[in-house]
Amino acid sequence: MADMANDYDVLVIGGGVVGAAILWELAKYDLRLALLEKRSDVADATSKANSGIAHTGFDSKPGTLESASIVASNPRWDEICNVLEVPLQRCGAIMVALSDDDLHSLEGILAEAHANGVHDVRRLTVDEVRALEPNLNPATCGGLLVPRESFTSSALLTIAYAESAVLNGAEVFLQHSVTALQPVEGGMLVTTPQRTFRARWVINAAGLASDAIAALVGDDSFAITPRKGEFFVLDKSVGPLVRHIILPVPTPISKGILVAPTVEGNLILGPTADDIQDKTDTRTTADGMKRVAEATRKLVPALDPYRTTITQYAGLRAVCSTGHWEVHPSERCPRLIHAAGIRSTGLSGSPEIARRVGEMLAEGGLALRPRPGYQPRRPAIRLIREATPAEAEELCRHDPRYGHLVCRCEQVSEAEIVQAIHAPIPATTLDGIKRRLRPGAGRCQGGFCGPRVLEILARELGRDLSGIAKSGPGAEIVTQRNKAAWTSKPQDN
Amino acid sequence: MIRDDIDVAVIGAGPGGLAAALGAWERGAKHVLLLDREEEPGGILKQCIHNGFGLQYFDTDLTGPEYADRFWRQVMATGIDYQPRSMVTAISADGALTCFNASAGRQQLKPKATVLTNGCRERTRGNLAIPGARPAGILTAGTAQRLVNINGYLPGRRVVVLGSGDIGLIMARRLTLEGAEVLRVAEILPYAAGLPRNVVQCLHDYDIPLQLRSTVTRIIGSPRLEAVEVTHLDSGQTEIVECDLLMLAVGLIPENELARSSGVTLDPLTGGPRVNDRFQTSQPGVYAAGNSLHVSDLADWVSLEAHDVGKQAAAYALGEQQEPVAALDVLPGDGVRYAVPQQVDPRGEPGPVTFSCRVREPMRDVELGLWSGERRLLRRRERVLVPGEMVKWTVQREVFAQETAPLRLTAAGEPFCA
Ligand SMILES: Cc1cc2nc3c(=O)[nH]c(=O)nc-3n(C[C@H](O)[C@H](O)[C@H](O)COP(=O)(O)OP(=O)(O)OC[C@H]3O[C@@H](n4cnc5c(N)ncnc54)[C@H](O)[C@@H]3O)c2cc1C
Ligand SMILES: Cc1cc2nc3c(=O)[nH]c(=O)nc-3n(C[C@H](O)[C@H](O)[C@H](O)COP(=O)(O)OP(=O)(O)OC[C@H]3O[C@@H](n4cnc5c(N)ncnc54)[C@H](O)[C@@H]3O)c2cc1C
Repeated sequence: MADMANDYDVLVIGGGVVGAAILWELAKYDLRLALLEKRSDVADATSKANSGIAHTGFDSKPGTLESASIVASNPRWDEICNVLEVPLQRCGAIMVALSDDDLHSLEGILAEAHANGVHDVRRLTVDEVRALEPNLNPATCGGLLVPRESFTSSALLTIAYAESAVLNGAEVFLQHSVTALQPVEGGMLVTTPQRTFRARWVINAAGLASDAIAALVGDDSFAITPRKGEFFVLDKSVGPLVRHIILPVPTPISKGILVAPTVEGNLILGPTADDIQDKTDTRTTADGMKRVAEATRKLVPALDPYRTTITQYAGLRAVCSTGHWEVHPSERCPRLIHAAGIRSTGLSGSPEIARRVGEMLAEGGLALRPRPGYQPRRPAIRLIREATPAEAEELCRHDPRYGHLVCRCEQVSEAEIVQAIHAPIPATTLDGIKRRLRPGAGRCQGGFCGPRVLEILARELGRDLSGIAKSGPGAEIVTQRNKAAWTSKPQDN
Repeated sequence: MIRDDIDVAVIGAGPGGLAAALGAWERGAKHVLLLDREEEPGGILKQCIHNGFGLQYFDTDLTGPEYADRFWRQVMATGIDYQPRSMVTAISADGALTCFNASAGRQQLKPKATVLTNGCRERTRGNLAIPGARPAGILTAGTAQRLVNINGYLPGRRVVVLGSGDIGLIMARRLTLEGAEVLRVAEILPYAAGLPRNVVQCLHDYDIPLQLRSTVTRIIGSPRLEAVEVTHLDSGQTEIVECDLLMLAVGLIPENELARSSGVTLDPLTGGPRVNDRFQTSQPGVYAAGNSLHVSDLADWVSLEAHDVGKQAAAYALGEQQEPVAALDVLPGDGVRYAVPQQVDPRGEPGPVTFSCRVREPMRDVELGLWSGERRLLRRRERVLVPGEMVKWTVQREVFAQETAPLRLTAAGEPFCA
């Protein structure tokens, strides 16, 4: 068991975008760091199932921590995405007014944007809106342009944050679920089924479970409930329908259902906002999909979600009973710092949340000295689909497996898959490979590439095919050898 | 470096591509390059270890691999150049191919003619937007077939099949033989989508219930599938069926991305390119055949069609193909879902034109009609036609040589539920 010395200076619970950002921020300093994630991969919960927008904060509530975090983070995205090699699409957003009431509301929203310090938001005339987005509802009578609203990939950002930290010495323990926390002299004991860790500071970035983590030290100052958001993903063939993120004018209940062009050229439509009970219920519903279809067709009538969809998904926002983010040391246990209740904009606020957590640790007495030899750049896997002809030829020369395309729809090669399996945060499941490289995320949804990716995973991980899962233990794709195979050749391992 | 020494490039070495390459070679093309993304030729037939192939072409009942092998032997006896592990990713508007090869890397080819025989893909759960969880245990039938027949693994033991396409029927039997329990096949239409012979040989013979007018409306279970909700359309009743594999056989779509990349015009009814009676797409020099043109029920039809298309492509490459003189559109009329080719040249080179079409619903005592405007040019009687079975109709060009109004194919008969 743990000796009395602390294994780690800081231990982060939760490998979502918030936890990963904190690990990345702290890895700049000379600290012993680890992150514990209960699933088989980072970015496997809310942070993989959101709208993927790096907001400007133009429509957040002025004066809140949320607003301050988003506004402070936004100017940093170019730099962050550049050094972490994460795609960022500075597409901008247009809020579309469809009625006089909407036009009226835009005035208030514009004023709020300016109050939030987002000064480049401006009104658009009908003609301007139409020129920018010819496929909008003909009833459009005006709009608001938010130039810096951007689209990124929340999952890729989370993975990049975590990998950057690992490259700088942090450790990430996957499939490690925290079950107990115990304050001890100068630190805390953090229990997982595999092992007990000892750290001077612990960060609670457990998303939907952050109230449960707080409860482990008797802190019941907030409770988290899930609010579901459902989405359609549409085929790339309809991707060109819009160029900006298209937003409705919000209602008092919801920011509304949007249409967004993804970094890969698909469209996403959503999300709904439904309060539910079960924190594991990420099911899509017929009713939710219908509402998304109706709402988005009001914005862009040419959309035909049911006929052009390639997949659907749902994510759960962590709604905090206090009505705001909880980013502060626990009152019951000052060595546990919450980064909890990050409901709707955690991706957008993550750099600033992380910076503030660092500040809190410093205030608590943790010395933040720059890490010697810190490497800011996290090299992403070179993608054959993004290579110019000359680069593609070079990649293939360097590693012939780049010439072996495994996924037709998204053009992914064996070389990329092998790299992802052996990356700083290893992809060990079909979903993990898909999240990083997109085989299975395209038009055929893995119909062609699925078995081939399975074979590569098994080979690289030295496992039998039946040991490879879609998402994690219990989700294996194949269960056993068939009869013909049993008799024709012995089981290889 | 762009390779420009190729007369005819054939993309995909399934039954379509093998036959097209042979056709091109026989027609006199000197350099025929047959490309496939996989190691072995044979296309989808490699995983079709059941019999039922070759009845039309060889008058013999063969398995898929045996059928493919007969063509492969013929190919090996020629000078056709086969390049495996080569995926073509794009065709430019001027007909240049981009290809990735596991040993040669990225290649640029500029063949004189290209034949698309790159097959089809399966519709997915995502296309159907079935609500519910997103667990492991949901596979298209073709993917399940690959896992069972090529990898040698079982993807589940209690199986519900959604859709009654042929692959689903074949796989229902295959999984039963492997000891899995196939609980039912749910089909939204009032009749089976697949071939009648497959309904008999794969379901009836194994007591697997075919439940018409029903569909899966919810996916239950995580991380692995635990059950599906089946809804009966007529009564509105729902039922929870426990299973660990949902296999989808809900339709095939021509693999049209390459065609799209070159900008050829697609037919929304087939999902494949529009072609004329030489099977040339809207882009001169680019031809299409087999499942990438329109999804066939039988590999034999694919071989027959593609063999001829290969010859056409060779004629083009050799500069021996006559320019089209005139063009008549061919449209699906009443009772017909689609018609291929979509265009004919009424004053083209002599010789018959074979139309392929599918009826909209099962019918008895059918009268097929070929019309031009309001005039019926030809008719043909059939006892029974079902949508799962492709109708082939070979018509002499004289029949429409004088016409100027679009041609229409119709089918009228007494509807029934197969
Ligand atoms: C529908 C929807 C749309 C959204 N759109 C946007 C958007 O466009 N822009 C934006 O900025 N934000 C958006 N958000 C919000 C954003 O997704 C969240 O704020 C963010 O993902 C929260 O990240 P997190 O790290 O707090 O939580 P999560 O991503 O949920 O991560 C928490 C992690 O903790 C792990 N964990 C839990 N318990 C334990 C334990 N006991 N031991 C170890 N690990 C544990 C979990 O497995 C999980 O991986 C959206 C959210 C939703 C639901
Ligand atoms: C599961 C199943 C069961 C069937 N059962 C029967 C039956 O019992 N009897 C019968 O007569 N018919 C049957 N058929 C129908 C028959 O198999 C098909 O009609 C036939 O295989 C179609 O031939 P094809 O050459 O057009 O396509 P395919 O056989 O699919 O061949 C296409 C080839 O193209 C390659 N390819 C695709 N894209 C690219 C690219 N970009 N670059 C390079 N290569 C590429 C593929 O790897 C493949 O080898 C069945 C079909 C299926 C799918």
